[in-house]
Amino acid sequence: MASGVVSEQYRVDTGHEDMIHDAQMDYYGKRLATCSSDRTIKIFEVVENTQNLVATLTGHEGPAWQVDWAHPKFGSILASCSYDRKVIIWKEVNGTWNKIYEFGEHKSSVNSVQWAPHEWGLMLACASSDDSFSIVYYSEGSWKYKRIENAHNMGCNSVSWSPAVNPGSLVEGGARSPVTAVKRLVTGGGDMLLKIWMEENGEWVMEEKLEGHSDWVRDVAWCPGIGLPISRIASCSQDCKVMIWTKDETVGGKWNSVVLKTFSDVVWHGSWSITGDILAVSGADNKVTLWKESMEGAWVCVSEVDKGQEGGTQQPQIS
Amino acid sequence: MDSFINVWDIRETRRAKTYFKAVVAGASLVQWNRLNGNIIASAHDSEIRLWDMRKPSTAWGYITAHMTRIHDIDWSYRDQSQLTTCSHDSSVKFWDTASTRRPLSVIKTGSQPVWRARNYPAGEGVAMLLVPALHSLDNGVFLWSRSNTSSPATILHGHKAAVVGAQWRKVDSGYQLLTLSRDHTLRVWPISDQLSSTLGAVPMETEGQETEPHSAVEPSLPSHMELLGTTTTDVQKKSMPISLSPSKSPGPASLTASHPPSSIVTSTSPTSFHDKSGSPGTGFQPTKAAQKLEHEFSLLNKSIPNVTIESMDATQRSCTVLVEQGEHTVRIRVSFPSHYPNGAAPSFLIDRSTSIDISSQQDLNRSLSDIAHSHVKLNRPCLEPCLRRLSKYIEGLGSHPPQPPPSLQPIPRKPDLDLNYFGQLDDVRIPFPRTTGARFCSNGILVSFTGQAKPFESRQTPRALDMADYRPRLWSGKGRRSGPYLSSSVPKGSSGSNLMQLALSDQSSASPVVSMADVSQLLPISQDLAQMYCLSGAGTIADLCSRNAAAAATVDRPDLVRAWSVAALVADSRLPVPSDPNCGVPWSQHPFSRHLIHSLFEHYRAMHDVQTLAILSCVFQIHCNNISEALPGSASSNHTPSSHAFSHSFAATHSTVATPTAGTPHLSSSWQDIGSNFPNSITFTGNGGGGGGGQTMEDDEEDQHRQNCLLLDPLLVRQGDEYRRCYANILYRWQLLEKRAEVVKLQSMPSRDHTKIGFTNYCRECGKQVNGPVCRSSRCFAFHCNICNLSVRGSSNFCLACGHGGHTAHMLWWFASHTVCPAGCGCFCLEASGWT
Repeated sequence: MASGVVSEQYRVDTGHEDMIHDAQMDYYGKRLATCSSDRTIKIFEVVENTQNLVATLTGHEGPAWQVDWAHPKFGSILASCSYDRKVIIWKEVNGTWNKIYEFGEHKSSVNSVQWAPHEWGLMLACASSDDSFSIVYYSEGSWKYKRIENAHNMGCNSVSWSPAVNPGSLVEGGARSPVTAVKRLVTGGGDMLLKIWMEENGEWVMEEKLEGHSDWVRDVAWCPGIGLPISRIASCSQDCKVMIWTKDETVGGKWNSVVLKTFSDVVWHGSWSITGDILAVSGADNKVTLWKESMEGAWVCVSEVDKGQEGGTQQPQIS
Repeated sequence: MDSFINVWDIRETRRAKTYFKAVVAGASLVQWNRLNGNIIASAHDSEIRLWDMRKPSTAWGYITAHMTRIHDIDWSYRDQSQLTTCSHDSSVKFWDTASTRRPLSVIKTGSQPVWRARNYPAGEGVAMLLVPALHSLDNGVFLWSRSNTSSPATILHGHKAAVVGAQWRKVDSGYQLLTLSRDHTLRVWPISDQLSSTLGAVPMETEGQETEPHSAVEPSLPSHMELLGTTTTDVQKKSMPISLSPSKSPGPASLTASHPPSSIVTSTSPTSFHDKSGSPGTGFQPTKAAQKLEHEFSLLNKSIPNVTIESMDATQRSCTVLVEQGEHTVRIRVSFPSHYPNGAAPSFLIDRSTSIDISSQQDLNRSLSDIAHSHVKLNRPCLEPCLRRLSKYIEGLGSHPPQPPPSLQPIPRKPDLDLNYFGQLDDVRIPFPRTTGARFCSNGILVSFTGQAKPFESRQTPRALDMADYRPRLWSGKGRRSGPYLSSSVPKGSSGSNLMQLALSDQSSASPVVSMADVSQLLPISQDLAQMYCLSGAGTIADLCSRNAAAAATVDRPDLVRAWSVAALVADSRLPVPSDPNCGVPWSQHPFSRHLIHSLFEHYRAMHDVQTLAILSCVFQIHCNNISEALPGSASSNHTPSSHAFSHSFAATHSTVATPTAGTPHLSSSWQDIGSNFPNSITFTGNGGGGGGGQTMEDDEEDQHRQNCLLLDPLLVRQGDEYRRCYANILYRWQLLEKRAEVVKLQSMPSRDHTKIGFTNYCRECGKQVNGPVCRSSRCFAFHCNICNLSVRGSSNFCLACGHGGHTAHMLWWFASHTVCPAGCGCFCLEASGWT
């Protein structure tokens, strides 16, 4: 269990004309969406080693930074954000992809998008370099939005939703009716801070401010909950550090941080596995490392996916 | 790339004629002096070396020219000791080889790296190409005069894609500029006389023919001159000569202070902000604020239609702008408060010489202030948006005069305001794009991609888009297209010197690849186990556990085998569950019971093994349900074990709950009022005695006993629910829907977004809609059998298509021999509804 082999399953030649900035598979792991500096988003069906390009979505006028699939209960819906300050929501109907909504209220590059847990409906958070983040949601037949200004000085770089469960409620014992989880999200920005926001009476207010990084926070990732009474956030920063922030409801409910590692170069992205125990970290050193918390609470590297230099060949390593 | 520079004789191609050896990194560019065939300059990353053919052993000069890579070297046409360099650090510098410590002058472009800088053969101007930005819609060619380094003399618009090369060409009447672009065109730009004189050439005798009144910046405008590294006035003076009236054969002497500062330079606004020594007259201290303002000034896009910037002075914190549109002339002085742009908006003073009326002036002032405030509120500079509004406003005042006749050449393109504006100022804030990434997707797929080979040799990766290194990196990895950095060796005929350039970019030809790795082995969940685990059909709970242990054995999880074996023992049905609290301690209170289970959960929690947690909690949930059903008191309750199993069973023991089963609130005790308020849910939310009133001690005790008998701590119900919810989600991704249903049905609370689907009747008596069997207003049963015509009290069936039906028994009887609806509506109910 301590270490495992990361075996390469299959590769998709994306055919993008420029470098890609994000790639994500849908809920079932059947389709892949990629976005690129060539301003397009491509969608591939990936089944059993075969890949075929389903659609090339054009509509952005700048490099597309990030994509995110919505929960399938809403249909095949994909959100993308771009340098052109737009967020586009795409939907597949009968095999054809169309733009169903274009959100253009941001005044600078939109750097990150993420759909909220499906329990909260079709709701999207967007982080932009104009210092604000916004919540775009579908309600009563139309798209609405809330824009939260001045969230971070020097821009919001990343946004991530909390799971749709309040860890606090898990230790309160057998309440007899479902508690509506408070909507929370975390943003990371150019002011070196992480900020946790919660919805209160329909308004988004800052709940907590986490300090620790010494340079821009590039990415934040809220760990998926599996019923544990803890909240956990990973943050990646320009200062080459990855930090893990943990709030344990059983012992006081304060955010504590540990530095996972100081890398040799900027860390760009962190991603949690579905069980919330493994964190994949990728950065400017072109490496992908997987980290797991040991039973003693220390973070250990369980596997390193080292990228070769020639055309990005992947050479799995066991560590 | 070796560290040699070879000089070849083209008649003798086997061997290099001469070579220079540089100790440092190899040369990326080599350029012959235009006037002296023995002199060669080479660029080594950010450094320039000067070589002499006659003495090839060592370089005779070094210039530490730039901060980052040099993109182009160009020797002067008229002075063999002068050369021009441009670099990725967004500057163009003019050098004299005799004094290589400081450049003669510098042109700064703000944030855009400079790709080419080519001296104007007839004067002191230079043609400049920028490294194309990612988003760039602006493919202009910039012409600068060295006497005005704050803004380009003109911008030639026309290319539709990035411009990659530029060269001057001599024609009879003067010079032409040739540019080539990735839009597959080569353009020839004639240079008008006026422009030529702006660029520093000696004016020709044909001044009357100038055609573009607004394309060239008037040379008489006062403006500041930006000089890098000039920290004292002395140096400044010394290094700013050679401007307007270049002699035909300037020698090295022209570089000394022999030329007095030209009139243009001296007419600059009184204080130069480079004068860091501070002149007592103004008492100015260079502050950060001034630098900020200066920065904004330097970034300002001055090609706003009809707007002429007459003066900009960062130290005085003001600038004067002239807008001319048709018959309107507006001169506005903008003063920037010291806190600007942090919340303090600049003030706009409209000069009296303005030709628009008072109300328009007020209106304009208000409109400008609004814009300014909206920007400074966000601590953003606002000058450029204000100027654009100003231009628009004046334009909108009507009276469109005949446009100046379209000139042949440089027509200022209407600038794409927003993108351009943000492209300049905002890239500082936009994070440097990630080119490598990895995401966990679905249940156990790691999707990863990587940009290109070796990104940065030594420097740390930049954080924002505007950082100097961004563009080459982003562009050199260009898949199939040829990057903009291809070598362009354009032989230069007139001066006889050669131009040699090495390709800077290596061309990797593959398009980006995304790889997907199956990392499910690293995760604590297993699809195989999910398929084998069972939650039903095994008799006792202990049997269930044993079967699950066997399942775990097949996937080589010895820890799980042990865990399930223990669970099987704990859940043994022979262990005592006394029905009366007085008859002994229940098994669940034994140390090896509830505590053991709890520690099992703790263990798997630490491992994040949500699968085991969920299945364990399911199994014990079933166990709990069985026990609470078996215990006295629960039999009378109406709870449905499938969906309301756990917590509901506690409440149900009070037997005072209004249950929704029959629709009639059958209230059996004094709880009537409370009950009817919550007809569809459990009425007691308080624990134990929380209900107060009529609750007896026995009830309390019984309830307590029931909880004590359960193997799971009732306080942890919610966690169990959460394990199951997460696991159900995982099962969904595996599309194991039946397994998922088995898990979900044990949830103690229905999911919130569960929407009830039910049938409603319309009462025959009053016509109102009835939810349930009895109409509340007419107090009669709502549903009548279509066969016996009596109201239905018991089970009923009806057709989903036509809505007719009745007692189940009657329906069965009818449809045993018929296929048509008994009501005579003609509906083929059996086919329509699919029931038999």
